[in-house]
Amino acid sequence: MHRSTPGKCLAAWLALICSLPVFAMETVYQSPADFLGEYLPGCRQEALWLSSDLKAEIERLVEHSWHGLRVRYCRQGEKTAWILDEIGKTEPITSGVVVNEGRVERVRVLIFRESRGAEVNRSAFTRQYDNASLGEDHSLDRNIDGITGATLSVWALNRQVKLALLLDRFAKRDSDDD
Amino acid sequence: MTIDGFKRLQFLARWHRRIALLVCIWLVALAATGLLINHANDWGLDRSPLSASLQKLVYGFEATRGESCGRGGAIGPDCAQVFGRLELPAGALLLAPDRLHLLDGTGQLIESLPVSRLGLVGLEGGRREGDWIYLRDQRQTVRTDPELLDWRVLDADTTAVLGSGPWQVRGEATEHITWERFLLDLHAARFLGPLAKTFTDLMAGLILLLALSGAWLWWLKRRRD
Repeated sequence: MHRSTPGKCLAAWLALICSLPVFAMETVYQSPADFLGEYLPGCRQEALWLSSDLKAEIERLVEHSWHGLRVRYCRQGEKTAWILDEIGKTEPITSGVVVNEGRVERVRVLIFRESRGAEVNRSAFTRQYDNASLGEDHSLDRNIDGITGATLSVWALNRQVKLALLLDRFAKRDSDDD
Repeated sequence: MTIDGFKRLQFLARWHRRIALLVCIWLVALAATGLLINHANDWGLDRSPLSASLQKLVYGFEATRGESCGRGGAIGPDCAQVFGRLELPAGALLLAPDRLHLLDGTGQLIESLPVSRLGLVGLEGGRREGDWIYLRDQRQTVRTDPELLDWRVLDADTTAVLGSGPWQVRGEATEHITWERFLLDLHAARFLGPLAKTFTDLMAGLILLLALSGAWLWWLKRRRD
């Protein structure tokens, strides 16, 4: 038996309404504590204090204003791990980035809150950042292939990785000064 | 058409107009509030609190949540969520259900930290004791230094020893009413209290009456012509 057109419309409308909470769901792939425990076990929590110059540089890189006077990170020897939030379209994406001597060692999307673009979580995508470093012009030393339908999430992740590399550079300067 | 029929038509048309005018005012208010509610998130109405005087006037109570933020507005609209403030040697820590806001001595924001970074799910309370800050959710209690850099989850025995000291508790703070909530109350005529339901029923009845009287008028005029 064929369903009438109004019946189909009603069914589609109901399906859309019922699925809205699913679209808006927060997905935790890994908690920040577990990420640090897996990739930088026993690391020491530290804070990088932001000078006005560094804050301005951060704002140029992320292309929006930056709130706060410091950024926390975890250090283990030369390695640093950064848990950063960056908005994709409307909601923040939380990612973890491990940096070793100025190069990306690991990128992982930890919490995804957007309704679309969760494909950035796939390791096939995040592996592209392995060993990436930051140039003086705030660009990565390689091209990152995008994902159709996840452009804003890809851009957010690019900003997070670049920010982690920039912050690592300054954290290293701070520790060298000490 | 007879004279009686003409008079009946005039009477009906007059009352149709009167009811329409009455319902029109309600419909305009309904549409205006509905439009604003529909875009509440886009326009930030779901985050903007009513002014203290308006909240007191309309709802009869003042919000204590957000009072702890202090002057300067270092954390902006997030202030509405703050339910407690712990004074620290070099500043203050603002407690909100999802975030902790660390301020320096001048009230500037040092860091805004999701409570989940400390292993908590929805902050329920906080207190300071000596050099330590204690924060708790429904499952566990965490002890941290004032810098929020060195923290650990306390076991049940240590938590029990803490006792029932002066915790700043989330449930004790009265919340700010947002513009969205105010508009929803206006939209549903909740300010009329128990009469709200009757008022909405009356308006719905009048709309039905308008539709019927309009159809009747149309039929009478058509017959007259």
